[in-house]
Amino acid sequence: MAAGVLVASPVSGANMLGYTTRMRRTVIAIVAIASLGVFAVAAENKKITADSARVVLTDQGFEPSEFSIQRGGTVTFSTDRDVSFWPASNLHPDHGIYPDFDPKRPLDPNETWTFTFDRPGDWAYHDHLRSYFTGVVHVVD
Amino acid sequence: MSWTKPVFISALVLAIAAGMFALSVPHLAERIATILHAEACDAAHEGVQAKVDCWLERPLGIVNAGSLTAGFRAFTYLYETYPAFASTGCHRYAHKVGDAAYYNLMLAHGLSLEDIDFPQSTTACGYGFFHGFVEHLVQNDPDQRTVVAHCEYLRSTYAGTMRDIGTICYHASGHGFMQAQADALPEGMHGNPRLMVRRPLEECEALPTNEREIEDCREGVFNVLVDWMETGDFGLTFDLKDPLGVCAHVEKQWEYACYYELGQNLGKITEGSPLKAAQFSMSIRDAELRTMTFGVMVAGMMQSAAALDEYTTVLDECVHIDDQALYETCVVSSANGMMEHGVPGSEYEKVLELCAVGFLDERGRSVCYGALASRLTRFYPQEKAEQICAEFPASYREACPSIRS
Repeated sequence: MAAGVLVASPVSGANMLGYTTRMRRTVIAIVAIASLGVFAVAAENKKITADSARVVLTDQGFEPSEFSIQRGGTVTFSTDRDVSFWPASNLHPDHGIYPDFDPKRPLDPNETWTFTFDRPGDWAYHDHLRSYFTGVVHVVD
Repeated sequence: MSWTKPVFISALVLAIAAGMFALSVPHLAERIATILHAEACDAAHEGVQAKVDCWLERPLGIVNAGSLTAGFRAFTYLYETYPAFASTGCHRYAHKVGDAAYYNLMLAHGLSLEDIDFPQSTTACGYGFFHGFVEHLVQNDPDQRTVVAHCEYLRSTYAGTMRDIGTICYHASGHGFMQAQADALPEGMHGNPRLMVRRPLEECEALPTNEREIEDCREGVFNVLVDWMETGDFGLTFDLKDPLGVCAHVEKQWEYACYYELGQNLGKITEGSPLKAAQFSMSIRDAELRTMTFGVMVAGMMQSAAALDEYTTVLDECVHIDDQALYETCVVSSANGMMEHGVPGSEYEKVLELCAVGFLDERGRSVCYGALASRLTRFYPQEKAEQICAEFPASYREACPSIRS
């Protein structure tokens, strides 16, 4: 029975050493890939909490619609649509949760507007002219 | 091992009981999630607006996921639970749900209007949902024939249970014409309300429909103008010294709609007092415009009064108005305002209480029940309207046949 088990086992006999080596290599490869992944995510996180960001209003809405930025960082809003736009903090139409986050006028399609976020928090925003386009800026210390 | 069997049986019984309880309370998990979300918002934010913004995430999130019915269940929970939510802009918040539904439900899922099933609850808070939804529908395609096609589709499909869906659609079309113009409003027009409303109003006039619905469209145009005046958009301001001055300079055919909408924004002048509203309205020379404007001022007071259970204070002032026509308008408008801003799905309950208050005289009570009766099928299916009418005191049920007309 024991021999039979050995024969039947994929890790039996002379193959055992080769198998463990392969397994070790596989584990190392997995760890390496995972590390790269973690590094990439960390790098990405570092990128999106940078001190500046660009947001474009497209036919599919704000891109990116949600992101993080450091306190004191700037966000530049633009559009690739051919109509005016007006990014502003919620609630529509008063923009009361962060009144300064509001250019107070429609922006021409070829215009950009840059705002400095000096208040930490999660700031929901929308396009005042088409209030169904929405997003959130997370401002972190 | 001897203890395991009783524990297992107890756990099983508990699980069965919990399951039966969950089955007996519809949408229990959804409701618990709504409660937890709402309480977290309440605890996390200080200001009312930030709380509202957070609360709204729940119905908006549900609608975005595809369920209008469940979204409005959450909306109703917020209204019933948090007076700050209900009293600060129920109509406006329902409008936001409509905004989201247009984009995240219709556009994002590639649906047509005919693909969406609008539940009865979308009539809540004066049809605010449809104001938002149709506004964007028209803003993105402000072609008159398309507008009429949309509105007639909504009327033919839903008017049996939402009587005013057609007129609401034309009203919201006025919003849409105005918003479409805002996409490319020349700077030379900024600050000039007369110029800003002209083109959208002309688009209303060109709608191939009847005068009543063209008037609804005109009102929608002025409704957006008032919003812009309130928020200071496009160089507009609200002149407290001459708040209806804009209307004196519009063409005669647009005057009524102008007064109707600007009259709803006089809260800073009337301060929730029908007596002050009556005094202010005396400055309007035309009797029809005067009575109508007074009525919309009173109805507007009910936005906060209905939610805060302060409606009797409004009515209490109505009975001190000497002018009989304004007195009756005050009572009727109180009832109408309560219906427009009341608890979604149960708006009529407080209006029944309102009409029954002891200090109303016979005439006041009669017009109050009459106003309620005429409003029922705006919000409820025929059968429910008839059941509500059966709750009227017998002597006032004569108002009920109007439901069938």
